[in-house]
Amino acid sequence: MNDVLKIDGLHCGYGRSKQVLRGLDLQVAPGKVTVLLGANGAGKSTLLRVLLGVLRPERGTVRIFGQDPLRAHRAVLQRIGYVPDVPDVYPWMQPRELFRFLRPQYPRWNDALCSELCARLSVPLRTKFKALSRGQGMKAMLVAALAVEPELLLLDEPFAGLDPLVREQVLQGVVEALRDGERTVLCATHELEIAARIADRVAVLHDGVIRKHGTLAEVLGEEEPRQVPQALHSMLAATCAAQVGS
Amino acid sequence: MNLLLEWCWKEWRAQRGLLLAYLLLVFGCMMCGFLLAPGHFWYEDGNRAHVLGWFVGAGVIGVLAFAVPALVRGEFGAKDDQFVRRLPGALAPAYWGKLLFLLLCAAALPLLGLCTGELYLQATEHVWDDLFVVRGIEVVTAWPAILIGAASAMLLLPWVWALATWLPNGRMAIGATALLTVLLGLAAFGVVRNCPQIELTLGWQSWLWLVAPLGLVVAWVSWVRGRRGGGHLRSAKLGAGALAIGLLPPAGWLGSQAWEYHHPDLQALVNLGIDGLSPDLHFALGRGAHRLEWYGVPVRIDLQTGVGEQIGGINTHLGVEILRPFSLCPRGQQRYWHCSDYARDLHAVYDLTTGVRTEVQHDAARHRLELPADLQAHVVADLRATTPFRAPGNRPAWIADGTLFVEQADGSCSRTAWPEQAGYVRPAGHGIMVFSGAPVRLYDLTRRAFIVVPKIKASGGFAVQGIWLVESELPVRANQSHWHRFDPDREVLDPCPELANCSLLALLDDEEVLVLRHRPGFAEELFAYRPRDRKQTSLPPPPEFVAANVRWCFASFGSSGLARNPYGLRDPRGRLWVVWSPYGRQDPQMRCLAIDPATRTVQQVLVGDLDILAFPDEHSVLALEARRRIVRIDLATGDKTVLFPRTTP
Repeated sequence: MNDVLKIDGLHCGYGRSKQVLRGLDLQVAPGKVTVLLGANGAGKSTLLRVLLGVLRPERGTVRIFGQDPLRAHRAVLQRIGYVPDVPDVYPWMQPRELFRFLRPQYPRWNDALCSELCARLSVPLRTKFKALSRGQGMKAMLVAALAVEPELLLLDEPFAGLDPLVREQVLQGVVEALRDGERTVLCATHELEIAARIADRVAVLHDGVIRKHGTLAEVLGEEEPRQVPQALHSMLAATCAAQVGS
Repeated sequence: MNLLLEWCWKEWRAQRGLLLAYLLLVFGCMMCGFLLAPGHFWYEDGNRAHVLGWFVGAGVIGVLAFAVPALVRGEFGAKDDQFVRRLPGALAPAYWGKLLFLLLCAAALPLLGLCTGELYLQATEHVWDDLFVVRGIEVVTAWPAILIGAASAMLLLPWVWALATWLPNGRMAIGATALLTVLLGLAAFGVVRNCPQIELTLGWQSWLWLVAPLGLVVAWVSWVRGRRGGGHLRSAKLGAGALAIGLLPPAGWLGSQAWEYHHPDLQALVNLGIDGLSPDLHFALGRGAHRLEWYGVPVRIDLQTGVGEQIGGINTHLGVEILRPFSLCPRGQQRYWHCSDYARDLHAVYDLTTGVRTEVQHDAARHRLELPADLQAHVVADLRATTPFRAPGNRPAWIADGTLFVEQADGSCSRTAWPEQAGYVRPAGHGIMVFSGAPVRLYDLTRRAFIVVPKIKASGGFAVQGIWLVESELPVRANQSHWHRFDPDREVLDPCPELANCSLLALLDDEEVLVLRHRPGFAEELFAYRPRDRKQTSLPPPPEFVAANVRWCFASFGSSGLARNPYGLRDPRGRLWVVWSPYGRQDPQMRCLAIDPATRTVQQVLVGDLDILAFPDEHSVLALEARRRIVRIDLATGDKTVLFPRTTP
């Protein structure tokens, strides 16, 4: 079976002095939800920026749908939906302007789905992003990511800093999107509770490399799902401590 | 196309508020300013077009200072410019959409300024018809300086865009563009500065068409290629590479021009001038350039093979002056030359015959060259052989080591102490004019002493066997000379009205002077003048000379300045040659007349654009033709043999 995402020996950083990813390897199978766990500064966002073609790897290969996202940027990115940790669109833009602007960029843009999601998540369409709350902005970004009907959904800590009500709404939106079994998700987060709810597989990123990767059962042993957040916390702490000790 | 329009719309949506606010504010302020400013200045003839120009200029500034930098800076949001970089393949459509917006802005804002300015002038009952002025019989457009500046700024718009992609957050793009422009300008100036007057021939204006397209290419590379997987540093790296490649053609072109300037093709020299010949007539020392307007480089020309050799740069000066006092007069045929460099304090003695350059020390305090003893002896011998000074009887005189030497009839030398080591000297018949500060001093080679002219201040003189014709320094009318006859023995100074409007050309023999009389509106007149008794003998020109209706000419002997012997330019048969140079005439041909002192006949011997250089033998003459080639002309048949250059350019 072909992996949707295949990364080999990825090195990336911000200048010579700040190496973030140091030989990262990762495969993501189609139709699976992979949660990328890691502490702040572990390199989760950097990895996603490499996948989006925003950053150029220093070494290693990245293949999404079998193609290099830098060389075949249009072909690859048209099949990817992305939700950043904070809205990265123009502050003067309104959500309806954003959707209009994105429509010609993505051939699979679904206007009906967009309208439905906006209604369900109560996205204010005529307010500029700079005037939206963080939660409203994130909901609009989630709509923009899902309306392209992506085959691969990249989520960069979309739930961080949201109040519980909005967080539940956004999470619900993600869960709804996951009902289509063909959709592959790579979600970077450090919220273990959410990871426990949506993850098929877990990858632990620490110090620029994937320390552990597998199903929840493989990563945590035989733990019951309701104990998963605590188990994940223990596993993360142990992984980090082991690395510091070594 | 759809994507392109979306990006153009996005720019308009992002910038419309700022641009509209700018235009309203600036146009409003300008209107108020012009209303409050002194109207008698702004609305006088010649300034109304400037008022309109300021409105147009304000529009251009809006594009330059706001619209273009915002093309890049506007992409930076909460997470730098990630949004545009993560959209699928959006950088290229974004570029074209932004370019479309830029073009629309570049057209719309100045036009808005023009319309606003026109409306303002109409409202204040003024017109800008003074943009067009009548010069002579032509109506020309007097473009206000602000419009010229605005047009230059428009050329730089793509560069502001390109450099904005190179800088963090796209800031300070205008300053960076100004800096880049200054740096490139300094580089070009550095080249041009070393090539005086090269700007007259460069035709650099045609390269202006490259400025905007090259800027757009650099902006494309910096944005579309540079931003894919990288930030401003990658944009700067790729953009600088594109800039370097784009600058190669103009830089190569400028470099080739500079190379041609300093290393001209010696077989295709123009404006060739010959400073002198070696005594054996084997080599010529000349100066020529690749183009007429350029400074020439010194060239040693082998007249037997036609091969030229560049012996210095444009700052290299080869002069006759080696020993004090320096002569102001070329000697025509001379072996040793003073080779100096204007740019560096380098001095050498150049041997034209062998091509050997001997570096010598220059004593700045005494203004003289310190020559080795053996070289000094050679230089003095050369000076003796080629000196322009003559004592009666056509006997050579020369000055060396503070001594005036005069060759006697039997070949021996008489020696007289020469008092003036400083200053410059030039021949004056059987005398020497000494320039060491005003007024000029006159040395009589007949008496071997300076003479003092009473009553008048002499500006020049000409001695004929001890009788001086002195030119007064008193103000005179144009084309007139006040000549006086002065006999130092009797100390009698008489005016010479018969020499009004006359130039003394050369000694016809030991007693008479060849004189040219200028007659405005008529042909110049040649005659022989004997100072002793003031006798004039007309020398009528030959019939073909008269038939050619030669007027408005002036005669000079050795028009290239060679052989300023007071006895004139003489051929081996003893004839004195006079070259009539055209001046303001339709017929550009020079005419060479030969005057036989014995028979007093004047014969036209050559016609052409010629500078006579030397007479190799009785039947031929060396001449510089059209300041391009050295020819040997057979005097019997008129056949010309080109000695240099041997290959026709």
